[in-house]
Amino acid sequence: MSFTSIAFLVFLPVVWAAYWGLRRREWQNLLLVCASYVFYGWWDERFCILMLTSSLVDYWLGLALGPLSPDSDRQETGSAVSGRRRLLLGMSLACNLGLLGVFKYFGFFVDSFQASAAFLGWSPGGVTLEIILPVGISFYTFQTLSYTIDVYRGRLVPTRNLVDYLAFVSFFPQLVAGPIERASRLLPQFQQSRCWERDAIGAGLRQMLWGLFKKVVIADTLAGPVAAGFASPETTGGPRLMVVTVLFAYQIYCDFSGYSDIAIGTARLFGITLMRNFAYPYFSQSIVEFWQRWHISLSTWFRDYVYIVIGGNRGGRVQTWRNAILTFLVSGLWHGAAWRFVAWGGLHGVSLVALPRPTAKVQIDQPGGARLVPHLAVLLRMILVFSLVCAFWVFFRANSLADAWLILTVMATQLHDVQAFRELLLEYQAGGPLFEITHLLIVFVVVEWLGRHKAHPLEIPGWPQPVRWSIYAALGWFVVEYSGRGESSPFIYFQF
Amino acid sequence: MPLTQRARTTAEWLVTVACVLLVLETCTRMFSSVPESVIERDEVVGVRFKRSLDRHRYDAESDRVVPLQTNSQGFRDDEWIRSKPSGVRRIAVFGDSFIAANAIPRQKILVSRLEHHLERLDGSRVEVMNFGVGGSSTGQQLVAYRNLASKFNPDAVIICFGTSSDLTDNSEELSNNPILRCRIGDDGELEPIEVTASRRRGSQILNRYSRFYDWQKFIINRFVKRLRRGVQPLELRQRVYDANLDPRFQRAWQLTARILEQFQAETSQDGVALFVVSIPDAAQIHRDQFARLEEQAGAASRMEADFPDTRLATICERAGIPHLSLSGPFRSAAPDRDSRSLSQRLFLKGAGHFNEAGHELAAEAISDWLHGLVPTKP
Repeated sequence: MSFTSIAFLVFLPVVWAAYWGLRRREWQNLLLVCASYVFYGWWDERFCILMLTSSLVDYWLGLALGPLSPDSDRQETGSAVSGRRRLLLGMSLACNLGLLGVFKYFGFFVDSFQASAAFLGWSPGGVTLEIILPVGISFYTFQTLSYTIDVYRGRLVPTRNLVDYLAFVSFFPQLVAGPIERASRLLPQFQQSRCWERDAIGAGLRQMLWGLFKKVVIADTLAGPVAAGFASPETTGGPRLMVVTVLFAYQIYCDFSGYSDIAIGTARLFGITLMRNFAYPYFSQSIVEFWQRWHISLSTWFRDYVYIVIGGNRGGRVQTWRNAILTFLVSGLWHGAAWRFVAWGGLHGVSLVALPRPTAKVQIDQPGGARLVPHLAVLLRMILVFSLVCAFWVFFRANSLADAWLILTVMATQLHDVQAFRELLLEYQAGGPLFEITHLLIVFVVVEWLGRHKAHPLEIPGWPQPVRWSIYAALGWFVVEYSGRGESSPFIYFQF
Repeated sequence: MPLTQRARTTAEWLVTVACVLLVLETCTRMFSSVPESVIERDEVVGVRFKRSLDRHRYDAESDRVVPLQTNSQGFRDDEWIRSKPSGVRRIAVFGDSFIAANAIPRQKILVSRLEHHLERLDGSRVEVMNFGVGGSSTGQQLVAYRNLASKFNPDAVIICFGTSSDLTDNSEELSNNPILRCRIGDDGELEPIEVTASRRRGSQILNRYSRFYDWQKFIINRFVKRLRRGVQPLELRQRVYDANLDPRFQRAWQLTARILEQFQAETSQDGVALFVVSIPDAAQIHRDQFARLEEQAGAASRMEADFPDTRLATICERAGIPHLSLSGPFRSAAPDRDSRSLSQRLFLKGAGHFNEAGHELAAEAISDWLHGLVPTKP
């Protein structure tokens, strides 16, 4: 069930009304579990079996790990205990990563193995499995993994309440595309009573509206030209490919951050607070800052559970760089079972270590500084980082590594094509789709810039009521109007 | 809450509502892709175009800009002169959007081509009057004949009955379009179902001045259609092909028969010849589309492409009304009967209203059938 579907439009109010009609926390959690499984099973009921299996395995392993954790009351020491703890953690890792390996990476590993064998002059028999990639598997496996790892580390007491745990894993607003929540942050919210807060409901609805606007009006409008441009890069031409790449940068940003906003807003309707996932990443002044603003839940997950585990910055400079690049390579692989995603991750990793780091600590609530009109140096840095990120997005969006390389080559070698630029200008002046898209993006960037000191630009509860409601009405109008214009494209991150 | 505080809150909310409506109206006028409605409803003819229009509109179905001119009576035709010139035969053609044909330039639509072919065949002047309006039902067409068309002294009336929509449009059980309809009273007589005066007046005012009013109607209709399609993939109107008659459809056929009998009675009294032509839906012509309907209808249904034409033919025979089904000529013109075959397409985008070839084919078929049948009234 997608957030922009009619089914969700019916599903959400029914679940919400039933939720607040139940006074007791336990019943509310049970309702959320049932609703979440209905939500997830709407794609394919078999996915629910997979998620339930993964959840139950980690639940029982968490319970088994609990008495063995460093902070437990039973202070058994010795290698036997350590061995058992590592065995249990290993089982959790094997189960979760095994699920990912089978459902997401099996084909990739087989293809890569066969390609390598062919390179060496050997042709082993092909093994193919017709497997559907379950929606959201990359997200909820990481979420359950964070639970067992935190229990292992003694940072979390395992819960004995299965319903609470299942609610934490399957909570439908963030189930299929994040934010990837930490158990230490989300699980306690299911273990406590939630209060009805009118302000929180209002805030949640505002964030949902903003998310819907980004997804339906901007991301879906950009999807068509982006798909057309990337479908045949050899005939598209350098200048148009540049434009299409920028469009993709905003398509993926509005699509994914829009989803996150809808997820966070929806969660607030139920009295649950999810973590912020995007903080105006395209106003970053360095790649380091970009990764503190883009898909924050994933980047912090990889920092805490991969980068730090493999050594972090505890060794020398070279080891730090190695650890960072490795982490980004794995992050790239998480995004998709294809070498172009690994390349994308690797490029970010290399640029992170190679480019100058910011001298001051990144101020997450002040992207681009405090000034309304940024300093020229700040503006140039933002443009440079955005350009670099766009170039890396080519690998993310292209159909293959070869296509990505072709696109970059065409862009680099056809910058002098004045005729192509002129054609684009004529297309803009003719008032066609390019005109509409350009103005839409300009307005969007300006609105984001003006609202960048808040979690999202629609956080305007203090504004005069007529102005606030006029803005809500206008945004709602655009969402409804654009939802009828052609087919809605699926959320990009559903494929991960 | 003290009175002043309450008054202030109320005033604030009134200002808010006014601002919101203003913003919505502005957004609709500036950015909406939903075309402005050109139809208005009244009690004289039930439904007509806005009068004396002269504009160009982008039509999404034909993907082009089409001129739309209407006369002072609110129909897509030249100005009509009340007194019929001598030696001219007048034919009033009633129908819905297939006859109004907003997607096609006027000189290429069925009505204009029919006039051309009849003049060629009969060798005398023929004036074909276009009373087609989108969403018009047979009941409305009866009212339009009675209150308007009859005053122009036609020699013949042709009712173009769209098998895919006119039956459901006639019935208040099958369609919730707020259009003028009829029902069969307890005495067996047809009686109109009146829309209340205030609702009519309010609707007319909003229709005329508010683009947002049009827009929200369009959006709500689209939403309800999508919702219904999610629950029941086969649209209600497409159940017209189900030979296992739903009682509501049975009653709709009875009502349609009654309306056509009344039409025959009134036109006969006026000395006007009445004809009925079945306008086929694309699904009746293309096997691939009808197969999809059969799949959506399920095993419990008995879908037959010719079922509505057969029912209509029986009704017309009983009422003594000459009837022509265009399904035959259309199927002959598209022998592959596959909507994906571009060279044989007779409908816009293979599925909607007639394209220019469809209009031409329909006009030829009707003129060949009518040739010699239309008398001249003294």
